[in-house]
Amino acid sequence: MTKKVFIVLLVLIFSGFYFMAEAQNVEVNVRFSEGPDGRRIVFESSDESFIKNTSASILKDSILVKFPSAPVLRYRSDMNLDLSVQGSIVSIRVKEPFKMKTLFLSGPPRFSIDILKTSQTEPGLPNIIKESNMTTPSSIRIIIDPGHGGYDPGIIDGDLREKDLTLTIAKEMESMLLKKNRPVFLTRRTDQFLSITDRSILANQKTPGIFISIHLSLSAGVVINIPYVEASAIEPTEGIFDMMHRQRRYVEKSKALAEAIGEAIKEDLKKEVVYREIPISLLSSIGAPAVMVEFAGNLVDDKEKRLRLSRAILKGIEDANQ
Amino acid sequence: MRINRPKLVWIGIFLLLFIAGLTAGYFYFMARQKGPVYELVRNKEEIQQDPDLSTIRVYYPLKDRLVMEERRVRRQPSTAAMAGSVIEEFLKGPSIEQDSLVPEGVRLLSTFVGKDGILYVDLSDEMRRNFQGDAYAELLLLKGLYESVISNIAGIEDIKVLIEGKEIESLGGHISILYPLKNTVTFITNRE
Repeated sequence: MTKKVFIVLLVLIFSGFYFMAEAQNVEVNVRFSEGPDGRRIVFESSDESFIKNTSASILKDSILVKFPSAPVLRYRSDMNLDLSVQGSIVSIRVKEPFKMKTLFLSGPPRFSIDILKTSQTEPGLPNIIKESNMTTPSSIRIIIDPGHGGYDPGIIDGDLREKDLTLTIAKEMESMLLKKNRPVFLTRRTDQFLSITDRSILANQKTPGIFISIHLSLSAGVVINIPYVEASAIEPTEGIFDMMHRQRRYVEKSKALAEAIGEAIKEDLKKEVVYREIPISLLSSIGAPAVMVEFAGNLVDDKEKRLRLSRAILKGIEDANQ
Repeated sequence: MRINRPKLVWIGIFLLLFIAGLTAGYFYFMARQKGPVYELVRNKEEIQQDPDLSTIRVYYPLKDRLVMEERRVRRQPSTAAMAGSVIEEFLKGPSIEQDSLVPEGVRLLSTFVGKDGILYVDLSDEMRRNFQGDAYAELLLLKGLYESVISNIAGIEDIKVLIEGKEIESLGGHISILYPLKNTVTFITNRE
């Protein structure tokens, strides 16, 4: 009798807990954009663990996105997307042949799916590989942009000034690249102020293959900022505003570059890497794969640490071009 | 049909346990659902019931998020003046001073609304000179300013920041403020 009562009690408690779990639906916002290389669908929620436990797989002509529990999806009704929801699985039908690439991003937590067209590329090869075959990796000019300078010191932490550290790191990276006979250009070589527009003009004049902006971060570890270019904002514009959208053709390659640098840093330095996709005007104006790498001051406060970080960034660049 | 007393007791116990399960589930899952972007911190000061005062919500950039605080300000006769009051509160910084990203010593020089519905906010040079932060901190600072004004005052389409009466390219060297803020700062929550 006592055993039976005990089992019934347990069942009741768990069923109450289960009903609450079922009733709790996480709100997920869906954003969609379309570019020349394919489409991007972003699932965004304030619940980080929910997004981190989301996965995607390909089944015939569809992408199946599996969430930890049934989400409440919010999206624009005019979104050109064949999307259906069944419980915790969202199915996205893609009519043309495609390849899929996924990425988790923070601030806010997002799960991004890139649907890349495969008809224009060799089967089984992502666009970035095709592109790098056309250009010899060693001939790609790497532009390094040491952040701040002159009357703009950037972050000041005791005796450390961001403008000095970024210049030192940029020069160390330059000397490593020159030893390998790689074309490299620094947007500034001295303690001088350069505006965002100055940096953009200088970098774009040098026909960049890759653009890396070096900064300090307030966060612990390393932050890699990826340019954010809103697809709906891609309209014919003029003057400087048009210049600010040069990046739109390279966003995917910038993401691939960020991933490669992030992986190299995680592997070599065993440090946490956070990816952020935000509208940084300098990155948006660069006509090449471009990222901004920010690191905590304690990761670069002596020469040995700086050299390790520089090596890891350069390894990431090499990996992105292979 | 009569139910005897022991049975009623058991039903009561079962109901209580079921409710206990529901309550535990509620607290567990609702705690998980809390987002990192906004957090409500009520002003600890006792709010006086004064008809001339209005409650506003101010969004402060704090470390890696925006924190909302409620403040009471005196009602103003015009949109520009009311926006000025909101910005003054924003510039005072959050009640939790640690990790605040609002630069110190910034003064609001003037506010005016253009015919296009854009609010021009003229701030002192301390806004640029005393800013200490990375790209995300700069974005949060601008977003906090934008959200504080837009969420409290109707009829303002966008916000343009001026420093000492002039257009400048950027506060901290990462985010452009040559254009009004909406397109730059609303991408995080621009969902509809």
